[in-house]
Parts: sequence; C-alpha cells; structure tokens
Amino acid sequence: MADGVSVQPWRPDRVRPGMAVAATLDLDAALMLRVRDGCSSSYAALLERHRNPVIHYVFRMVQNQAIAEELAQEVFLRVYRSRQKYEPSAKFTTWLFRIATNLAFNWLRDERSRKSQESLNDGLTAGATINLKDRRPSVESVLVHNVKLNAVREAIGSLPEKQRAAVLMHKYEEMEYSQIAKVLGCSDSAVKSLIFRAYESLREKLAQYG
Amino acid sequence: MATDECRLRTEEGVEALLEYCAGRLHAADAVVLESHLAGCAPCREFAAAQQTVWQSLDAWEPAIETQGFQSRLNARLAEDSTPAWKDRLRAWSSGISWKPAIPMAAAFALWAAISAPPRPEIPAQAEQVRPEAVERMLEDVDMLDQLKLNAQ
Ligand SMILES: [Zn+2]
Repeated sequence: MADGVSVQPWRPDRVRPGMAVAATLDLDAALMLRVRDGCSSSYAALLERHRNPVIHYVFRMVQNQAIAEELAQEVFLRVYRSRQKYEPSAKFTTWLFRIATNLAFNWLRDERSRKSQESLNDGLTAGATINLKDRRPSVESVLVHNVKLNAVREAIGSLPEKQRAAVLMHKYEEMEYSQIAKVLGCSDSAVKSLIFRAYESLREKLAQYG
Repeated sequence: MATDECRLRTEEGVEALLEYCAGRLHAADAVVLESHLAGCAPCREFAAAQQTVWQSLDAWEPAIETQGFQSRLNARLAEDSTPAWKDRLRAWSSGISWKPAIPMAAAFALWAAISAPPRPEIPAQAEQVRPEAVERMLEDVDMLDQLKLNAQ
C-alpha cells in the first residue's frame, strides 16, 4: 500500500480523542507506517533521525561504547522486526526509548551479576567507580576538563538505573515527565520523584565543579 | 508571604526551579521565579547548584564513531530477511493472546520450516528457525500494546 497513513487501523475505544490527530501529525509514526508497508527508505529516514540520540542515550546508560553500539543495533533491529504489527497509537519515540531502556536495563543487570560472580571468584571488590575509570583512555585523566567529565560519568553511573534513565531522558532528550513515565512504565509522580532524587544526588556530587 | 511561598516547599516549586535551570520555563513564569529568587537565599542556592549540574552534564557529549553503524545494521537486516511463512505466523498470532501461544507458535514455525518447499529467492540462512527472534518481536509488540493501554 503506497500511503500507509491513510490506512491506519485505529481502535477508537482504546485511544483518547485527539491522539489520532497527534499521531497522524507525528512524522515518525508516518514513516513507521511506511516501513510497515515495505518502504526501506522510510526505515533509513527513521534511522537517520534517531540513530545518534539512541546510541548516545544507551552509551550514557551503560558507559561502554562497543556495548552501546551493539544495543543500539538491537533497538533498530527490533523496530524493524516489529514493523508488521506497528500501530501509531503511542508516540514512536516513546516506544523506541522503551525498547532502548529495557535493553540497557537488561545489560546492566547481566553485567552486575557477571561482576558479582567475578568478584566472588577472584576475591576482588572493584566498585563501579573503579570500573568506569578503567574504561577511560588514560590521557584524559591529565586534563582538567576531563576530570570534570569523569566526575559527571561517575555521578551518572552511580545513580540507580531508573533514576539514571529518567534524568538522561529529561536532560538530553528533553522529554516531558509524562513521556518519561510512559517509557519507564510508571506514573508521572513516580517519574518526578525519580528525577528530583537524581538531581539531588548530582547536585551533591558535582557541586565542586561550579 | 502566601503569594510568594518558598519554591522548595512544594513539588510544583521544585519542578519550576528545575525547568528554570534547564532554560525550559516559559518566559512569564521565569520572570516571576526570578523575582522570588532575588529575595530567597535557599532557592538561589538550589538554582546555583542545579545550574552547575546542568552545565556539567552539557559537557558530556559522547564522541562515538557511528559511520559503520548503518552498514553493520544493514548486514544484520539482510540476515534477518523475513520469509513469507513468518509473516503468516505474525498475522495469525495478532488476533490472539500471544503469551500462551508461544510454544504453539514455535511448534508451527518448526513445522513450517520442515514442511515448506524450498524458496529459491531467499538465502538458505534466512530459512533457519529462530524462535527467540519471534519471541523477542512479540515482546516488543507487547510493549506497544502496553503503551496503548496506558494512553487510554
Ligand atoms: Zn525560595
């Protein structure tokens, strides 16, 4: 079907009035409908629009470049694999970041369990701070600017995962609380609480860099 | 003063301070908040610390090489090309509650892979049964369904 936007199967009983209009105007949703109908250039356009935000978001979550790229590839593969069932009743970026967040959470959970197994095996007690530093190129540590960057990475890395995801989406993706809530599958007030606590921790940890 | 209560005492006030420091507060609201800040030391302290956080986070721009991303993804998509029987499986699974149906879907996929005649236009590797890929796709679709329900 050439024009995917006109054939969207709306379910009026499950969609708020106004959402249909909003979703129709959402370029991402329109592109995704074309992907569903087999348009590969629309998939390329979606990739172009969201590749860097997704890679950067996942990188800031896991703080490992190779893993971030692998997970970001998985995000876009999953979008492609789900194309046949796509319906534009949720904002595309909400769905996209929900997939990205779940993949990051899963990786962090597996990594935590792998690390704890390693430390049991080795009798080592290397903490998250040391691990993050270990991943940094050594030349950066001699530059004042990068001392601050290191502090930022460590401060973000030390946040509980949901707080980290919430604050990254608020800061770098400029998402509203309500969209972050949908990505994380919690209430708006829970998201506010996550973000308030996250920034409170960050204010304590980064105060000296003012 | 009732009309100018310290912003740190309410959730809305803290939210406004955060948005102000992010430069996302509407201009009119920002003017009102600034007049409060002029007379409230705790709010000024909060705002200064939050602005430090904001600027520190601004400095963290990941330098990630993404040039090969597209070609690597294309290679994985080519591996992932969908045989027609998988489309039929998806269409079939769309009308039912899928969770209890996964074992049946896997069995159907296995049966389809064994019994389907060879399709010369599709590379042999794409014909391999990948139940984990089918299951992951269904999970992602389930996420979409949850978002739809939340949007009610
Ligand atoms: Zn105040």
